[in-house]
Amino acid sequence: MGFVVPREMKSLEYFLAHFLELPKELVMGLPRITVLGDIQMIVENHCGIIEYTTERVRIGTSIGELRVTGTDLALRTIFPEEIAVDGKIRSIEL
Amino acid sequence: MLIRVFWAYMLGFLVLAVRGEHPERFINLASMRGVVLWDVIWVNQETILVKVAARSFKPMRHIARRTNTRVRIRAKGGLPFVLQRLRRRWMLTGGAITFCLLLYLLSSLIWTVDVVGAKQLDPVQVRREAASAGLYPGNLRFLVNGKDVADRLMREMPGIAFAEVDFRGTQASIRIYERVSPQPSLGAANIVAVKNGVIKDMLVLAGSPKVKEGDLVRAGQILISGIIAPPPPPKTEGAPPPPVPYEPRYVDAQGIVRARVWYRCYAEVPREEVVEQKTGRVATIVSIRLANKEIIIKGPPAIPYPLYNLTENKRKLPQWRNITLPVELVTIRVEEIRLFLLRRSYDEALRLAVQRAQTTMAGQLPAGAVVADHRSRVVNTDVGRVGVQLTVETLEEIGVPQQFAPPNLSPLTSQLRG
Repeated sequence: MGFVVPREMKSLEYFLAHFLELPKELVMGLPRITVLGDIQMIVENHCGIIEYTTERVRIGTSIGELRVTGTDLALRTIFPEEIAVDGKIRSIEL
Repeated sequence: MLIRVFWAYMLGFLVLAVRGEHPERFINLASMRGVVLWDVIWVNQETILVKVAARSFKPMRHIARRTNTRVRIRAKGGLPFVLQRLRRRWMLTGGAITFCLLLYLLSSLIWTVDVVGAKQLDPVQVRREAASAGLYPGNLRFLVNGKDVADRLMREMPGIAFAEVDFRGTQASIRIYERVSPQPSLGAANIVAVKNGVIKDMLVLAGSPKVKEGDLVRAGQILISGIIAPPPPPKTEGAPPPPVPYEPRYVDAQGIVRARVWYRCYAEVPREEVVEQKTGRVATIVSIRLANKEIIIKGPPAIPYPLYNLTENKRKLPQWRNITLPVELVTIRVEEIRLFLLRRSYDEALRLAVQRAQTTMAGQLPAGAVVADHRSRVVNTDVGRVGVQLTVETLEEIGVPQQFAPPNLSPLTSQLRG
């Protein structure tokens, strides 16, 4: 049973996650960002809120800062693992 | 999401105003400590509103101190707080509960008892009898079994043939059907004719016949008399008549008298006639009529045809007591018609006239009459129309009893009559 390791599978975590079919955001600690149209964004695996106003939300993640701009932004829910931002989203930057 | 909103409501939640230089730090620390925040709304640079479960308010103080923010409760929501408020305002709570109970109690009482269908009987008496079975104003409705009350009425009051009890809300109505008792006999009866005719056959069961087969009788004429004349006194030569006086006997005449009866009716049909014909085009106008204003919901604003047939269907809100709301839903169905001159041939007109005469005749003939013969005769044939006279001969029973009081019944005859 030989298997080929593709070139991009460099890190051990990626390899394990890919090979064992584990959720990558858990194994690698990456944020999982789900955007619903322009009305809602859900960030899992965040590292806390850096800034919050109705026009701008900055959320810390393991790969840097996630900036969301828009209007009437509200933090619908804040769990240790998950943040949901509601409102009219204009841009998302990583 | 919904389940969380539900639990937040059940367990109670607080709306907090967090003030400080960095309210974000408060949010972060709270979420790190496992305190769930939701509906975070930015108010200004140093104030945000957050919602939090009521039971996580205590650890909140610690977080506030650590992040250098001040926390104030803006509002309280959820069931525990509602209950607390209600407990404080127990009169309000009690009033609401009393209101509901009272409404339930009053709506389960019988308020009125109507008696429908009492013509001979006294409604008061019916009501009294129903009251003794439990159906009276003021009694609880679920204690009264309508069927039992109806049964009791039928059993206890001989004048009632059938009774039924119907509840509509707080109103009970007793519908009774009275027993129709036969008319008391006056003592004797004749059989008289109800209409003119020629006697076909007769069967006398009681009484003395006054007509015979083949006789022409008029309405009101006595056919079978209830007076039975005494037989002629026996011829006794020389001797005086017997001492016992012969009196006529009076009976309820009975018998069947069948006669031939004639009916006549006339119908005429014009040869040329202007008739209406539907063109098949139909318009429906639905409108609401308020007092004397009309609001058209559907359909054209005016009737779009020059000639039309109109059927109107009004629907009103149910009347309550004597208050009627002046609101009606009116549906108007308009069918376009066209007039045209119909020309009939003589035969067509004749056939139609006969047909019309027969239709009119069918309405005149009594039920149970046997048609023995019918003839039609053209009686009117001027240029414009055809007139037909239809004569129908039927065989029917024409005798009906007519009561009369026999003149001063002697003790003997009354004894004979039992």
